[in-house]
Amino acid sequence: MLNDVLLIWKFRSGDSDALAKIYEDHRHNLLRIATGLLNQAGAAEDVVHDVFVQLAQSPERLRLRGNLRSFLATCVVNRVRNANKAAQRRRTGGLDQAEAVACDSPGPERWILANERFTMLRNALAELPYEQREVVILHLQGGMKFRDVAKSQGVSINTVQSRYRYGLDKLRSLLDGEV
Amino acid sequence: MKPRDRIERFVADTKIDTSDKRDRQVLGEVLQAHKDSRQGTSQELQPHIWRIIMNGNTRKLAAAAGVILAVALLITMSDWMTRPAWALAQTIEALKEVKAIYIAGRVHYPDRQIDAEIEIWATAHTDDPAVSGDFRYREGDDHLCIASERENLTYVYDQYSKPNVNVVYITEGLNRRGPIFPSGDMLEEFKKAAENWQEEYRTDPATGRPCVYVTFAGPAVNTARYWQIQIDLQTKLPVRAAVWFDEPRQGKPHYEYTDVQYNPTIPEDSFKFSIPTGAQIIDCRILRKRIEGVPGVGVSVAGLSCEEAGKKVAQAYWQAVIAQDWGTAQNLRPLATDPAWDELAALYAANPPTELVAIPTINHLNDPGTFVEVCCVVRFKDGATRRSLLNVDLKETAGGRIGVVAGTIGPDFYEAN
Repeated sequence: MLNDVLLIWKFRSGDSDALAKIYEDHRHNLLRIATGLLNQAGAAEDVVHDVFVQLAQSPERLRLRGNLRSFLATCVVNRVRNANKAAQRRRTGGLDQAEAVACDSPGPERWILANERFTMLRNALAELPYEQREVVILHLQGGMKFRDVAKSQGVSINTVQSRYRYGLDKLRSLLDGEV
Repeated sequence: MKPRDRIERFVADTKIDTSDKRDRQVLGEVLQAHKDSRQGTSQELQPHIWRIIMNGNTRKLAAAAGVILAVALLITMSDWMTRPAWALAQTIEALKEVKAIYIAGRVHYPDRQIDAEIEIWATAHTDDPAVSGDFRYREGDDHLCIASERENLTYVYDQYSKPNVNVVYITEGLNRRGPIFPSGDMLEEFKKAAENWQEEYRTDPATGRPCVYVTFAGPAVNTARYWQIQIDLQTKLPVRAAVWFDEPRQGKPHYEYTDVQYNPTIPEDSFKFSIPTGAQIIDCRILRKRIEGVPGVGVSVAGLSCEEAGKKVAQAYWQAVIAQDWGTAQNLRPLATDPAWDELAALYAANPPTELVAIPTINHLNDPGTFVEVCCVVRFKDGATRRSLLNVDLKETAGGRIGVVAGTIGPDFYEAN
Protein backbone atom coordinates (compact mmCIF):
# COMPACT_ATOMS: atom_id res chain seq x y z
CA MET A 1 0.00 0.00 0.00
CA LEU A 2 2.81 2.41 0.94
CA ASN A 3 4.64 1.45 -2.25
CA ASP A 4 1.47 2.23 -4.20
CA VAL A 5 1.15 5.63 -2.55
CA LEU A 6 4.79 6.51 -3.29
CA LEU A 7 4.52 5.30 -6.86
CA ILE A 8 1.36 7.31 -7.47
CA TRP A 9 2.85 10.40 -5.89
CA LYS A 10 5.86 10.13 -8.23
CA PHE A 11 3.63 9.51 -11.23
CA ARG A 12 1.39 12.47 -10.43
CA SER A 13 4.53 14.59 -10.07
CA GLY A 14 5.33 13.77 -13.69
CA ASP A 15 7.78 10.88 -13.28
CA SER A 16 7.44 8.67 -16.36
CA ASP A 17 9.52 5.92 -14.71
CA ALA A 18 6.77 5.58 -12.14
CA LEU A 19 4.23 5.17 -14.94
CA ALA A 20 6.44 2.53 -16.58
CA LYS A 21 6.65 0.70 -13.24
CA ILE A 22 2.83 0.75 -12.87
CA TYR A 23 2.56 -0.64 -16.38
CA GLU A 24 5.16 -3.36 -15.72
CA ASP A 25 3.53 -4.41 -12.47
CA HIS A 26 -0.09 -4.51 -13.59
CA ARG A 27 -0.38 -5.13 -17.33
CA HIS A 28 -0.50 -8.94 -17.06
CA ASN A 29 -3.18 -8.92 -14.40
CA LEU A 30 -5.31 -6.38 -16.26
CA LEU A 31 -5.06 -8.34 -19.50
CA ARG A 32 -6.06 -11.47 -17.62
CA ILE A 33 -9.08 -9.69 -16.07
CA ALA A 34 -10.21 -8.09 -19.33
CA THR A 35 -9.88 -11.35 -21.26
CA GLY A 36 -11.80 -13.25 -18.59
CA LEU A 37 -14.61 -10.70 -18.63
CA LEU A 38 -14.86 -10.21 -22.38
CA ASN A 39 -13.69 -13.61 -23.61
CA GLN A 40 -12.27 -11.84 -26.63
CA ALA A 41 -8.55 -11.32 -26.72
CA GLY A 42 -8.55 -8.43 -29.19
CA ALA A 43 -11.22 -6.47 -27.33
CA ALA A 44 -9.46 -7.16 -24.01
CA GLU A 45 -6.18 -5.83 -25.38
CA ASP A 46 -7.94 -2.65 -26.54
CA VAL A 47 -9.51 -2.15 -23.13
CA VAL A 48 -6.22 -2.49 -21.25
CA HIS A 49 -4.39 -0.31 -23.78
CA ASP A 50 -7.02 2.41 -23.34
CA VAL A 51 -6.93 2.18 -19.55
CA PHE A 52 -3.16 2.81 -19.51
CA VAL A 53 -3.33 5.58 -22.11
CA GLN A 54 -6.07 7.36 -20.22
CA LEU A 55 -4.14 6.98 -16.99
CA ALA A 56 -1.08 8.49 -18.69
CA GLN A 57 -3.09 11.41 -20.02
CA SER A 58 -4.81 12.32 -16.79
CA PRO A 59 -2.72 11.42 -13.73
CA GLU A 60 -4.81 13.80 -11.61
CA ARG A 61 -7.72 11.35 -11.89
CA LEU A 62 -5.75 8.67 -10.06
CA ARG A 63 -7.10 9.04 -6.53
CA LEU A 64 -6.45 5.93 -4.55
CA ARG A 65 -8.94 4.78 -1.92
CA GLY A 66 -7.95 1.11 -1.74
CA ASN A 67 -4.96 -0.42 -3.48
CA LEU A 68 -3.70 0.27 -6.97
CA ARG A 69 -4.51 -3.25 -8.17
CA SER A 70 -8.19 -2.85 -7.28
CA PHE A 71 -8.31 0.67 -8.70
CA LEU A 72 -6.99 -0.49 -12.07
CA ALA A 73 -9.27 -3.55 -12.03
CA THR A 74 -12.21 -1.17 -11.54
CA CYS A 75 -11.05 0.93 -14.51
CA VAL A 76 -10.97 -2.22 -16.64
CA VAL A 77 -14.37 -3.45 -15.50
CA ASN A 78 -15.96 -0.06 -16.18
CA ARG A 79 -14.62 -0.09 -19.72
CA VAL A 80 -15.75 -3.68 -20.19
CA ARG A 81 -19.26 -2.72 -19.06
CA ASN A 82 -19.27 0.10 -21.60
CA ALA A 83 -18.11 -2.35 -24.24
CA ASN A 84 -20.91 -4.70 -23.16
CA LYS A 85 -23.50 -1.96 -23.54
CA ALA A 86 -22.16 -1.03 -26.96
CA ALA A 87 -22.13 -4.69 -28.00
CA GLN A 88 -25.71 -5.16 -26.79
CA ARG A 89 -26.78 -2.19 -28.85
CA ARG A 90 -25.18 -3.76 -31.91
CA ARG A 91 -26.58 -7.27 -31.56
CA THR A 92 -29.44 -9.06 -29.92
CA GLY A 93 -27.37 -11.67 -28.07
CA GLY A 94 -25.54 -10.71 -24.86
CA LEU A 95 -21.92 -11.25 -24.05
CA ASP A 96 -22.83 -14.43 -22.23
CA GLN A 97 -23.41 -15.90 -25.67
CA ALA A 98 -20.26 -14.37 -27.18
CA GLU A 99 -18.12 -16.88 -28.92
CA ALA A 100 -14.54 -17.21 -27.84
CA VAL A 101 -11.99 -15.81 -30.21
CA ALA A 102 -8.73 -17.70 -30.15
CA CYS A 103 -6.08 -15.51 -28.59
CA ASP A 104 -3.30 -17.23 -30.49
CA SER A 105 -4.72 -16.40 -33.89
CA PRO A 106 -1.94 -15.46 -36.32
CA GLY A 107 -0.88 -11.87 -36.84
CA PRO A 108 1.95 -9.65 -35.66
CA GLU A 109 -0.32 -7.43 -33.61
CA ARG A 110 -1.40 -9.97 -30.93
CA TRP A 111 -0.43 -8.93 -27.41
CA ILE A 112 -1.80 -11.90 -25.41
CA LEU A 113 -0.13 -15.26 -26.02
CA ALA A 114 -2.10 -18.41 -25.32
CA ASN A 115 -1.08 -20.91 -22.70
CA GLU A 116 -3.02 -24.08 -22.02
CA ARG A 117 -3.95 -23.35 -18.43
CA PHE A 118 -5.16 -19.83 -19.15
CA THR A 119 -7.18 -20.99 -22.15
CA MET A 120 -8.84 -23.66 -20.02
CA LEU A 121 -9.76 -21.10 -17.35
CA ARG A 122 -10.98 -18.56 -19.90
CA ASN A 123 -13.24 -21.12 -21.55
CA ALA A 124 -14.68 -22.14 -18.19
CA LEU A 125 -15.27 -18.53 -17.16
CA ALA A 126 -17.09 -17.93 -20.45
CA GLU A 127 -19.74 -20.45 -19.36
CA LEU A 128 -20.71 -18.34 -16.33
CA PRO A 129 -23.47 -15.71 -16.48
CA TYR A 130 -21.77 -12.32 -16.82
CA GLU A 131 -22.57 -11.04 -13.31
CA GLN A 132 -21.13 -14.17 -11.69
CA ARG A 133 -18.05 -14.04 -13.90
CA GLU A 134 -17.45 -10.44 -12.92
CA VAL A 135 -17.68 -11.18 -9.19
CA VAL A 136 -15.31 -14.17 -9.40
CA ILE A 137 -12.76 -12.25 -11.45
CA LEU A 138 -12.88 -9.02 -9.45
CA HIS A 139 -12.54 -10.86 -6.16
CA LEU A 140 -9.89 -13.40 -7.08
CA GLN A 141 -7.91 -11.58 -9.75
CA GLY A 142 -8.71 -7.95 -8.97
CA GLY A 143 -8.16 -8.44 -5.24
CA MET A 144 -11.42 -6.61 -4.44
CA LYS A 145 -13.42 -7.21 -1.29
CA PHE A 146 -17.03 -8.35 -1.67
CA ARG A 147 -18.13 -5.05 -0.19
CA ASP A 148 -16.33 -3.11 -2.92
CA VAL A 149 -17.64 -5.43 -5.65
CA ALA A 150 -21.16 -4.88 -4.26
CA LYS A 151 -20.68 -1.12 -4.49
CA SER A 152 -19.33 -1.44 -8.01
CA GLN A 153 -22.25 -3.63 -9.15
CA GLY A 154 -24.82 -1.61 -7.24
CA VAL A 155 -26.23 -4.67 -5.44
CA SER A 156 -26.19 -5.95 -1.88
CA ILE A 157 -23.24 -7.85 -0.45
CA ASN A 158 -25.49 -10.92 -0.07
CA THR A 159 -26.18 -10.88 -3.79
CA VAL A 160 -22.47 -10.63 -4.55
CA GLN A 161 -21.71 -13.54 -2.24
CA SER A 162 -24.44 -15.63 -3.89
CA ARG A 163 -23.07 -14.79 -7.32
CA TYR A 164 -19.60 -15.79 -6.14
CA ARG A 165 -20.82 -19.07 -4.67
CA TYR A 166 -22.76 -20.03 -7.80
CA GLY A 167 -19.88 -18.97 -10.00
CA LEU A 168 -17.37 -21.10 -8.09
CA ASP A 169 -19.74 -24.09 -8.03
CA LYS A 170 -20.13 -23.91 -11.78
CA LEU A 171 -16.38 -23.53 -12.32
CA ARG A 172 -15.84 -26.53 -10.10
CA SER A 173 -18.21 -28.64 -12.18
CA LEU A 174 -16.65 -27.40 -15.42
CA LEU A 175 -13.07 -27.88 -14.32
CA ASP A 176 -13.67 -31.05 -12.35
CA GLY A 177 -10.75 -33.39 -12.88
CA GLU A 178 -8.67 -30.71 -14.62
CA VAL A 179 -7.67 -28.80 -11.50
CA MET B 1 -7.24 -28.76 0.25
CA LYS B 2 -11.01 -28.42 -0.31
CA PRO B 3 -12.26 -28.45 -3.95
CA ARG B 4 -13.52 -24.88 -3.55
CA ASP B 5 -10.10 -23.69 -2.34
CA ARG B 6 -8.46 -25.44 -5.28
CA ILE B 7 -10.72 -23.61 -7.73
CA GLU B 8 -10.11 -20.28 -6.00
CA ARG B 9 -6.37 -20.83 -6.17
CA PHE B 10 -6.57 -21.92 -9.81
CA VAL B 11 -8.44 -18.75 -10.80
CA ALA B 12 -6.20 -16.49 -8.74
CA ASP B 13 -2.89 -18.06 -9.79
CA THR B 14 -3.39 -18.70 -13.51
CA LYS B 15 -1.05 -16.35 -15.32
CA ILE B 16 -1.15 -14.89 -18.77
CA ASP B 17 1.74 -14.63 -21.23
CA THR B 18 2.31 -11.61 -23.42
CA SER B 19 4.43 -10.73 -26.41
CA ASP B 20 7.56 -8.80 -25.38
CA LYS B 21 7.43 -6.82 -28.60
CA ARG B 22 3.83 -5.69 -28.02
CA ASP B 23 4.64 -5.01 -24.35
CA ARG B 24 7.33 -2.56 -25.44
CA GLN B 25 5.13 -1.05 -28.15
CA VAL B 26 2.23 -0.39 -25.79
CA LEU B 27 4.55 0.98 -23.12
CA GLY B 28 6.00 3.33 -25.76
CA GLU B 29 2.50 4.53 -26.66
CA VAL B 30 1.56 5.00 -23.01
CA LEU B 31 4.72 7.00 -22.26
CA GLN B 32 4.21 9.09 -25.38
CA ALA B 33 0.64 9.86 -24.28
CA HIS B 34 2.01 10.90 -20.89
CA LYS B 35 4.65 13.11 -22.49
CA ASP B 36 2.14 14.71 -24.89
CA SER B 37 -0.31 15.47 -22.11
CA ARG B 38 2.41 17.08 -19.97
CA GLN B 39 3.68 19.17 -22.87
CA GLY B 40 0.11 20.14 -23.72
CA THR B 41 -0.44 21.39 -20.19
CA SER B 42 2.72 23.44 -20.02
CA GLN B 43 2.36 24.79 -23.57
CA GLU B 44 -1.06 26.14 -22.72
CA LEU B 45 0.49 28.45 -20.12
CA GLN B 46 4.06 29.21 -21.05
CA PRO B 47 3.78 31.12 -24.39
CA HIS B 48 1.28 33.55 -22.91
CA ILE B 49 3.50 34.40 -19.96
CA TRP B 50 6.54 34.64 -22.21
CA ARG B 51 4.79 36.99 -24.65
CA ILE B 52 3.48 39.25 -21.89
CA ILE B 53 6.93 39.68 -20.36
CA MET B 54 8.85 40.12 -23.60
CA ASN B 55 6.62 42.29 -25.85
CA GLY B 56 8.05 45.74 -25.25
CA ASN B 57 8.36 48.14 -22.34
CA THR B 58 4.65 48.95 -22.01
CA ARG B 59 3.81 45.31 -21.55
CA LYS B 60 6.73 44.85 -19.16
CA LEU B 61 5.31 47.66 -17.05
CA ALA B 62 1.82 46.19 -17.28
CA ALA B 63 3.14 42.82 -16.14
CA ALA B 64 4.96 44.44 -13.22
CA ALA B 65 1.79 46.31 -12.27
CA GLY B 66 -0.07 43.02 -12.42
CA VAL B 67 2.38 41.44 -10.01
CA ILE B 68 2.08 44.40 -7.59
CA LEU B 69 -1.70 44.23 -7.81
CA ALA B 70 -1.66 40.51 -7.07
CA VAL B 71 0.54 41.05 -3.98
CA ALA B 72 -1.75 43.84 -2.76
CA LEU B 73 -4.78 41.63 -3.29
CA LEU B 74 -3.14 38.83 -1.36
CA ILE B 75 -2.50 41.16 1.59
CA THR B 76 -6.08 42.44 1.49
CA MET B 77 -7.44 38.93 1.29
CA SER B 78 -5.32 37.56 4.12
CA ASP B 79 -8.12 38.35 6.57
CA TRP B 80 -10.60 36.45 4.45
CA MET B 81 -8.18 33.56 4.11
CA THR B 82 -7.84 33.13 7.87
CA ARG B 83 -11.59 32.63 8.32
CA PRO B 84 -12.46 29.15 9.59
CA ALA B 85 -12.25 27.05 6.44
CA TRP B 86 -13.67 23.60 6.13
CA ALA B 87 -12.58 20.59 4.15
CA LEU B 88 -14.41 17.33 3.71
CA ALA B 89 -11.37 15.48 5.06
CA GLN B 90 -11.90 17.14 8.47
CA THR B 91 -15.45 15.81 8.71
CA ILE B 92 -14.32 12.37 7.59
CA GLU B 93 -11.69 12.44 10.34
CA ALA B 94 -14.20 13.62 12.96
CA LEU B 95 -16.65 10.87 12.00
CA LYS B 96 -14.00 8.24 12.79
CA GLU B 97 -14.66 8.87 16.47
CA VAL B 98 -18.40 8.21 16.11
CA LYS B 99 -19.46 4.79 17.31
CA ALA B 100 -23.18 5.40 17.76
CA ILE B 101 -25.71 7.88 16.47
CA TYR B 102 -29.24 9.11 17.02
CA ILE B 103 -31.08 10.99 14.29
CA ALA B 104 -34.59 12.44 14.37
CA GLY B 105 -36.45 14.19 11.61
CA ARG B 106 -39.32 13.88 9.20
CA VAL B 107 -40.15 12.18 5.93
CA HIS B 108 -42.57 13.54 3.40
CA TYR B 109 -44.06 11.59 0.49
CA PRO B 110 -45.94 14.19 -1.58
CA ASP B 111 -47.57 11.61 -3.88
CA ARG B 112 -49.08 9.69 -0.97
CA GLN B 113 -49.62 12.75 1.21
CA ILE B 114 -47.64 11.18 4.01
CA ASP B 115 -45.74 13.32 6.44
CA ALA B 116 -44.25 11.32 9.30
CA GLU B 117 -41.68 11.51 12.05
CA ILE B 118 -38.56 9.43 11.64
CA GLU B 119 -36.12 8.22 14.24
CA ILE B 120 -32.88 6.33 13.76
CA TRP B 121 -30.63 4.66 16.29
CA ALA B 122 -27.50 2.98 15.01
CA THR B 123 -24.16 1.66 16.16
CA ALA B 124 -21.10 1.14 13.99
CA HIS B 125 -20.57 -2.45 12.89
CA THR B 126 -17.96 -4.28 14.95
CA ASP B 127 -15.94 -5.36 11.91
CA ASP B 128 -16.65 -2.53 9.50
CA PRO B 129 -17.35 0.91 11.01
CA ALA B 130 -18.42 2.27 7.62
CA VAL B 131 -21.76 0.47 7.95
CA SER B 132 -24.14 0.03 10.86
CA GLY B 133 -24.26 -3.04 13.04
CA ASP B 134 -27.35 -2.61 15.20
CA PHE B 135 -29.87 -0.36 13.49
CA ARG B 136 -33.36 0.85 14.29
CA TYR B 137 -35.43 2.95 11.91
CA ARG B 138 -38.94 4.07 12.78
CA GLU B 139 -41.17 5.95 10.35
CA GLY B 140 -44.39 7.18 11.96
CA ASP B 141 -46.24 4.39 13.75
CA ASP B 142 -46.53 2.13 10.76
CA HIS B 143 -43.01 1.22 9.75
CA LEU B 144 -40.22 -0.15 11.90
CA CYS B 145 -36.99 -1.78 10.81
CA ILE B 146 -34.58 -3.35 13.27
CA ALA B 147 -31.30 -4.99 12.29
CA SER B 148 -29.58 -6.90 15.04
CA GLU B 149 -25.87 -7.55 14.69
CA ARG B 150 -25.94 -10.23 17.40
CA GLU B 151 -28.78 -12.18 15.75
CA ASN B 152 -27.60 -11.35 12.22
CA LEU B 153 -31.27 -10.79 11.37
CA THR B 154 -33.33 -7.89 10.09
CA TYR B 155 -36.98 -7.38 10.96
CA VAL B 156 -39.15 -5.10 8.84
CA TYR B 157 -42.61 -4.26 10.12
CA ASP B 158 -45.26 -2.55 7.98
CA GLN B 159 -48.74 -1.68 9.13
CA TYR B 160 -51.18 0.29 7.06
CA SER B 161 -54.77 0.35 5.87
CA LYS B 162 -56.18 0.39 2.31
CA PRO B 163 -55.38 -2.41 1.92
CA ASN B 164 -55.21 -3.61 5.47
CA VAL B 165 -51.65 -4.79 5.91
CA ASN B 166 -49.97 -5.85 9.12
CA VAL B 167 -46.84 -7.75 8.26
CA VAL B 168 -43.38 -8.58 9.61
CA TYR B 169 -40.59 -9.67 7.31
CA ILE B 170 -37.72 -11.60 8.86
CA THR B 171 -34.60 -11.73 6.75
CA GLU B 172 -31.13 -13.09 7.24
CA GLY B 173 -28.24 -10.63 7.53
CA LEU B 174 -28.13 -6.93 8.28
CA ASN B 175 -30.36 -5.57 5.57
CA ARG B 176 -30.79 -2.01 6.63
CA ARG B 177 -33.39 0.37 5.35
CA GLY B 178 -32.59 4.05 5.30
CA PRO B 179 -29.15 5.56 5.40
CA ILE B 180 -26.02 3.59 6.09
CA PHE B 181 -23.98 4.54 9.13
CA PRO B 182 -22.74 8.12 8.58
CA SER B 183 -19.09 7.67 7.86
CA GLY B 184 -16.26 9.02 5.78
CA ASP B 185 -17.06 6.37 3.19
CA MET B 186 -20.59 7.69 2.84
CA LEU B 187 -19.44 11.30 2.45
CA GLU B 188 -16.78 10.31 -0.07
CA GLU B 189 -19.45 8.50 -2.07
CA PHE B 190 -21.59 11.62 -1.92
CA LYS B 191 -18.72 13.82 -3.08
CA LYS B 192 -17.84 11.44 -5.87
CA ALA B 193 -21.38 11.35 -7.20
CA ALA B 194 -22.12 15.04 -6.55
CA GLU B 195 -22.90 17.63 -9.17
CA ASN B 196 -22.79 21.35 -8.49
CA TRP B 197 -21.14 20.98 -5.05
CA GLN B 198 -21.30 24.33 -3.26
CA GLU B 199 -20.20 25.44 0.18
CA GLU B 200 -21.63 28.47 1.95
CA TYR B 201 -20.43 29.75 5.33
CA ARG B 202 -23.26 30.98 7.56
CA THR B 203 -24.28 31.16 11.18
CA ASP B 204 -26.94 28.69 12.25
CA PRO B 205 -29.92 30.93 13.17
CA ALA B 206 -31.08 28.41 15.80
CA THR B 207 -27.82 27.91 17.68
CA GLY B 208 -25.70 30.90 16.61
CA ARG B 209 -22.82 28.57 15.76
CA PRO B 210 -20.74 29.00 12.59
CA CYS B 211 -21.57 26.36 10.02
CA VAL B 212 -20.89 25.43 6.44
CA TYR B 213 -23.93 24.59 4.33
CA VAL B 214 -23.01 22.14 1.57
CA THR B 215 -25.47 21.79 -1.28
CA PHE B 216 -25.20 19.41 -4.21
CA ALA B 217 -27.17 17.10 -6.45
CA GLY B 218 -26.14 13.62 -5.46
CA PRO B 219 -27.26 10.06 -4.77
CA ALA B 220 -31.04 9.75 -4.96
CA VAL B 221 -33.25 8.70 -2.08
CA ASN B 222 -36.25 7.44 -4.03
CA THR B 223 -36.01 10.18 -6.66
CA ALA B 224 -34.99 13.00 -4.31
CA ARG B 225 -31.40 14.05 -4.99
CA TYR B 226 -30.98 17.73 -4.08
CA TRP B 227 -29.09 17.64 -0.80
CA GLN B 228 -28.18 20.16 1.82
CA ILE B 229 -25.89 19.12 4.64
CA GLN B 230 -25.10 21.54 7.46
CA ILE B 231 -21.76 21.01 9.16
CA ASP B 232 -20.71 22.60 12.42
CA LEU B 233 -17.38 24.36 11.90
CA GLN B 234 -16.15 23.68 15.42
CA THR B 235 -16.92 19.99 15.72
CA LYS B 236 -16.72 19.44 11.92
CA LEU B 237 -19.69 17.06 12.26
CA PRO B 238 -22.94 17.17 10.27
CA VAL B 239 -25.73 18.60 12.41
CA ARG B 240 -28.59 18.71 9.92
CA ALA B 241 -29.33 17.30 6.49
CA ALA B 242 -32.19 17.30 4.04
CA VAL B 243 -32.89 16.05 0.54
CA TRP B 244 -35.46 17.52 -1.85
CA PHE B 245 -37.06 16.19 -5.01
CA ASP B 246 -36.52 19.48 -6.86
CA GLU B 247 -34.38 22.52 -6.98
CA PRO B 248 -34.30 25.18 -5.57
CA ARG B 249 -34.85 23.18 -2.34
CA GLN B 250 -38.04 24.91 -1.26
CA GLY B 251 -41.00 23.46 0.57
CA LYS B 252 -40.93 20.23 2.51
CA PRO B 253 -37.91 18.04 1.85
CA HIS B 254 -38.40 14.33 1.19
CA TYR B 255 -36.15 13.49 4.17
CA GLU B 256 -35.10 15.96 6.79
CA TYR B 257 -32.75 15.16 9.68
CA THR B 258 -33.03 17.93 12.25
CA ASP B 259 -31.64 16.43 15.45
CA VAL B 260 -28.36 14.55 15.21
CA GLN B 261 -26.61 13.27 18.32
CA TYR B 262 -23.24 11.57 18.25
CA ASN B 263 -22.27 8.76 20.63
CA PRO B 264 -25.52 9.05 22.62
CA THR B 265 -26.60 6.68 25.39
CA ILE B 266 -28.72 4.11 23.65
CA PRO B 267 -31.91 3.06 25.43
CA GLU B 268 -32.00 -0.59 26.43
CA ASP B 269 -33.82 -2.96 24.07
CA SER B 270 -33.61 -0.46 21.20
CA PHE B 271 -32.47 -3.22 18.89
CA LYS B 272 -34.80 -5.95 20.18
CA PHE B 273 -37.80 -6.73 18.03
CA SER B 274 -41.11 -8.00 19.41
CA ILE B 275 -43.63 -9.32 16.91
CA PRO B 276 -46.79 -7.18 17.11
CA THR B 277 -50.06 -8.96 17.82
CA GLY B 278 -51.89 -10.16 14.75
CA ALA B 279 -49.06 -9.50 12.34
CA GLN B 280 -48.53 -11.82 9.36
CA ILE B 281 -45.00 -13.20 9.62
CA ILE B 282 -43.16 -13.59 6.34
CA ASP B 283 -39.97 -15.39 7.19
CA CYS B 284 -37.90 -14.86 4.07
CA ARG B 285 -35.29 -17.37 5.27
CA ILE B 286 -37.80 -20.23 5.24
CA LEU B 287 -39.51 -19.22 2.00
CA ARG B 288 -36.20 -18.81 0.19
CA LYS B 289 -35.05 -22.22 1.34
CA ARG B 290 -38.26 -23.77 0.06
CA ILE B 291 -37.95 -21.99 -3.28
CA GLU B 292 -34.38 -23.29 -3.56
CA GLY B 293 -35.76 -26.80 -3.20
CA VAL B 294 -37.82 -26.40 -6.38
CA PRO B 295 -35.40 -26.29 -9.31
CA GLY B 296 -35.99 -24.68 -12.69
CA VAL B 297 -38.62 -22.18 -11.60
CA GLY B 298 -39.12 -18.48 -12.31
CA VAL B 299 -38.31 -16.13 -15.11
CA SER B 300 -34.91 -14.63 -15.98
CA VAL B 301 -34.41 -11.06 -14.74
CA ALA B 302 -30.70 -10.77 -15.55
CA GLY B 303 -29.55 -7.20 -15.96
CA LEU B 304 -32.84 -5.66 -14.77
CA SER B 305 -33.24 -3.24 -11.87
CA CYS B 306 -35.32 -4.44 -8.89
CA GLU B 307 -38.24 -2.35 -10.10
CA GLU B 308 -38.08 -3.68 -13.66
CA ALA B 309 -37.60 -7.23 -12.41
CA GLY B 310 -40.56 -7.02 -9.99
CA LYS B 311 -42.75 -5.69 -12.77
CA LYS B 312 -41.63 -8.36 -15.24
CA VAL B 313 -42.36 -11.22 -12.82
CA ALA B 314 -45.79 -9.83 -11.87
CA GLN B 315 -46.74 -9.27 -15.52
CA ALA B 316 -45.62 -12.78 -16.50
CA TYR B 317 -47.58 -14.25 -13.60
CA TRP B 318 -50.83 -12.47 -14.39
CA GLN B 319 -50.45 -13.18 -18.09
CA ALA B 320 -50.27 -16.89 -17.28
CA VAL B 321 -53.20 -16.73 -14.85
CA ILE B 322 -55.38 -14.79 -17.31
CA ALA B 323 -54.52 -17.30 -20.05
CA GLN B 324 -55.23 -20.08 -17.54
CA ASP B 325 -51.79 -21.47 -18.32
CA TRP B 326 -51.50 -23.14 -14.93
CA GLY B 327 -48.16 -24.80 -15.69
CA THR B 328 -46.46 -21.45 -16.25
CA ALA B 329 -48.31 -19.81 -13.37
CA GLN B 330 -47.21 -22.54 -10.97
CA ASN B 331 -43.68 -22.33 -12.28
CA LEU B 332 -43.70 -18.62 -11.47
CA ARG B 333 -45.29 -19.15 -8.06
CA PRO B 334 -43.72 -22.41 -6.91
CA LEU B 335 -44.82 -22.26 -3.28
CA ALA B 336 -48.44 -21.16 -3.69
CA THR B 337 -49.25 -22.45 -0.27
CA ASP B 338 -51.41 -19.64 0.96
CA PRO B 339 -53.80 -21.10 -0.03
CA ALA B 340 -52.50 -24.28 -1.68
CA TRP B 341 -52.42 -24.28 -5.44
CA ASP B 342 -55.69 -26.22 -5.87
CA GLU B 343 -57.50 -23.72 -3.67
CA LEU B 344 -55.89 -20.87 -5.54
CA ALA B 345 -56.89 -22.36 -8.90
CA ALA B 346 -60.44 -22.74 -7.57
CA LEU B 347 -60.41 -19.10 -6.49
CA TYR B 348 -59.30 -18.04 -9.96
CA ALA B 349 -61.85 -20.36 -11.62
CA ALA B 350 -64.76 -18.96 -9.60
CA ASN B 351 -64.19 -15.45 -10.90
CA PRO B 352 -61.35 -15.47 -13.42
CA PRO B 353 -58.97 -12.52 -13.69
CA THR B 354 -59.28 -10.97 -17.14
CA GLU B 355 -56.81 -8.10 -17.19
CA LEU B 356 -53.83 -6.71 -15.30
CA VAL B 357 -54.96 -3.09 -15.21
CA ALA B 358 -51.98 -1.44 -13.53
CA ILE B 359 -49.01 -1.81 -11.24
CA PRO B 360 -49.33 1.42 -9.25
CA THR B 361 -46.60 0.85 -6.68
CA ILE B 362 -43.55 -1.31 -6.17
CA ASN B 363 -42.09 -1.20 -2.66
CA HIS B 364 -39.07 -2.52 -0.78
CA LEU B 365 -36.79 -1.75 -3.71
CA ASN B 366 -33.92 -0.79 -1.45
CA ASP B 367 -34.35 -3.55 1.11
CA PRO B 368 -31.95 -6.21 -0.02
CA GLY B 369 -33.34 -8.78 2.44
CA THR B 370 -37.08 -8.56 1.92
CA PHE B 371 -39.06 -9.42 -1.15
CA VAL B 372 -40.01 -6.80 -3.72
CA GLU B 373 -43.63 -5.90 -2.99
CA VAL B 374 -45.56 -5.42 -6.24
CA CYS B 375 -49.05 -3.98 -5.96
CA CYS B 376 -51.17 -5.21 -8.89
CA VAL B 377 -54.61 -3.95 -9.84
CA VAL B 378 -56.46 -6.78 -11.59
CA ARG B 379 -59.84 -6.80 -13.31
CA PHE B 380 -62.09 -9.85 -12.91
CA LYS B 381 -64.79 -11.43 -15.00
CA ASP B 382 -67.46 -9.86 -12.78
CA GLY B 383 -66.13 -6.43 -13.88
CA ALA B 384 -64.71 -5.49 -10.49
CA THR B 385 -61.05 -4.53 -9.98
CA ARG B 386 -59.17 -5.78 -6.94
CA ARG B 387 -55.66 -5.41 -5.61
CA SER B 388 -53.14 -8.15 -5.07
CA LEU B 389 -49.87 -7.53 -3.24
CA LEU B 390 -47.35 -9.95 -4.67
CA ASN B 391 -44.08 -10.67 -2.93
CA VAL B 392 -41.46 -11.19 -5.62
CA ASP B 393 -38.19 -12.88 -4.78
CA LEU B 394 -35.17 -12.02 -6.93
CA LYS B 395 -32.44 -14.57 -6.53
CA GLU B 396 -29.17 -15.65 -7.96
CA THR B 397 -29.04 -19.13 -9.44
CA ALA B 398 -26.42 -21.05 -11.35
CA GLY B 399 -28.12 -19.90 -14.55
CA GLY B 400 -28.18 -16.23 -13.55
CA ARG B 401 -30.67 -13.99 -11.76
CA ILE B 402 -34.29 -15.10 -11.71
CA GLY B 403 -37.54 -13.83 -10.20
CA VAL B 404 -40.44 -15.80 -8.69
CA VAL B 405 -43.62 -14.94 -6.83
CA ALA B 406 -42.93 -15.93 -3.24
CA GLY B 407 -46.52 -15.37 -2.11
CA THR B 408 -48.83 -12.51 -1.26
CA ILE B 409 -49.11 -10.06 1.58
CA GLY B 410 -52.36 -10.87 3.29
CA PRO B 411 -55.08 -12.54 1.20
CA ASP B 412 -54.72 -12.98 -2.53
CA PHE B 413 -57.11 -10.11 -3.29
CA TYR B 414 -58.19 -6.91 -1.63
CA GLU B 415 -61.06 -4.77 -2.80
CA ALA B 416 -59.47 -2.05 -4.98
CA ASN B 417 -60.66 0.94 -2.99
